[in-house]
Amino acid sequence: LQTDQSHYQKESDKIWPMIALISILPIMMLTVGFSTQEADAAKCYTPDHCYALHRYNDATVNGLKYNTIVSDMVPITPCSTVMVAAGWVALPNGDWLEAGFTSGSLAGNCYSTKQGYYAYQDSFGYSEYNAGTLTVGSTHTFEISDANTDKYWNIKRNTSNLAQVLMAYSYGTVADRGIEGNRNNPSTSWIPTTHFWNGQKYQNGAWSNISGGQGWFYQDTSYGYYIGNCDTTHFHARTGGTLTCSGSH
Amino acid sequence: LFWESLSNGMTEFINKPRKKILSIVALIVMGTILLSTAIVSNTLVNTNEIKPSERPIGTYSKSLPTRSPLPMTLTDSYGELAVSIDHAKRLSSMEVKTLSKLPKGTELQSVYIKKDAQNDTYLVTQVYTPREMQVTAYTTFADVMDNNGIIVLYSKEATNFDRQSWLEQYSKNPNVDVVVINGMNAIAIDGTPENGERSQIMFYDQDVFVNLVSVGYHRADLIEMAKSLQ
Repeated sequence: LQTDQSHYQKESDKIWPMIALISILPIMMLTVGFSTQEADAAKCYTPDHCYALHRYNDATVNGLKYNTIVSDMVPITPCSTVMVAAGWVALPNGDWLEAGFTSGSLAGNCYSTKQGYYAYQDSFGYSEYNAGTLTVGSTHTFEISDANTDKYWNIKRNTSNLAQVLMAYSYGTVADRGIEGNRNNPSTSWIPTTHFWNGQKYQNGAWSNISGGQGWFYQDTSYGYYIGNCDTTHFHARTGGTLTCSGSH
Repeated sequence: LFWESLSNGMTEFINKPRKKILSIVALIVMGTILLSTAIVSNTLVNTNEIKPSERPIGTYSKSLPTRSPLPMTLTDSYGELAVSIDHAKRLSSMEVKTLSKLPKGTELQSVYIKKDAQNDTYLVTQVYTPREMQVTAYTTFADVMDNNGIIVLYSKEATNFDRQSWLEQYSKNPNVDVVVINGMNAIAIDGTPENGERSQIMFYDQDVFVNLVSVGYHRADLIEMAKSLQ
């Protein structure tokens, strides 16, 4: 009996540290979890992606069209910089299409110049394309649409059809316009004030204005990405400083 | 009196050595039978079940390209929460079904409805996730994919849409096969879930376009789930 007791005592000696360790584990895991969250939070909404966007998502759209002026984006390290001014149409199944202008890294190359571009994520992967050099200060109309609802989406810049892509849906559930970048707290010259106006959505067989009361703004202001209305159909987006409406159209 | 006689009877029975041995043997035999039955039935159930995904959490987000739209919450993408499946059916005038065969531990968490402007009807979205994942107002499409959930979309095409032509053209893409689900031709896309790519099943159930999307499961599993829609 004595031997048994001492045996149990030895066992309990081993068990208590284990119980203590097990009790501490969740606290340790929570601590790691919190520190991970903090690390992510320091990188905008998603790691390495910061945004200032206008989002229209009241109902589905068969197209998005908008005007913009090419701003003088300055990628300090072009090969590691992602900076865009663009429009996006997101489809229900996680696919999307986007078009606008950019500088820095694009389709495997590095640019200091301003490049037109378009990209899409379909059910088979992601593709992005250089659509030629654009002059700073030039005005363009970008369009992403499937006006005849046959699931062939057209990506246009002014009168040029840049691409036609067959997708799984003829409509999008979200239409965004604005800026995106992969730097926290960049300067005012990184993405300078960029104009977006005359935003339109294609619904029920016709284009109509995305009016001031439709949609909402998302901005990573804590990381230097800003967006705001200058009037009901015209907004500015920029990095490094709060909104200014100078030079509005 | 009854309890007393029962107690006496039991004591007498247990105290007889031969009967004691017999009762122990009977207990062992019964236990073995019960255990074997449990193992066999469990094996049968398991072969009929879809194994829960073992994909590490976050695989989808890691695969996203450098350029991508702002992550969308489920309500951004799919509209407001429906009160029930019947509510979604009534609003959309569609035959919205549910998956009756799911990976163990996965369940229907929420149903959304969004105005489909092109048909003056509604897009209906069902979100199935592992039980331990909480779907909140901040949950995004990426969160559902990252946690090996399944999204099922129901919508109508525009009246002039040529289904056959689309099916033929779309099925020419890589990693696409046309399979038959409950007598209907379906597009089956095998992503590489290990790389965060979505697998999808798309087909027409009468006039409803149904799409199952997941990163957690290969298309073979999604086909099994699609067959169970009822």
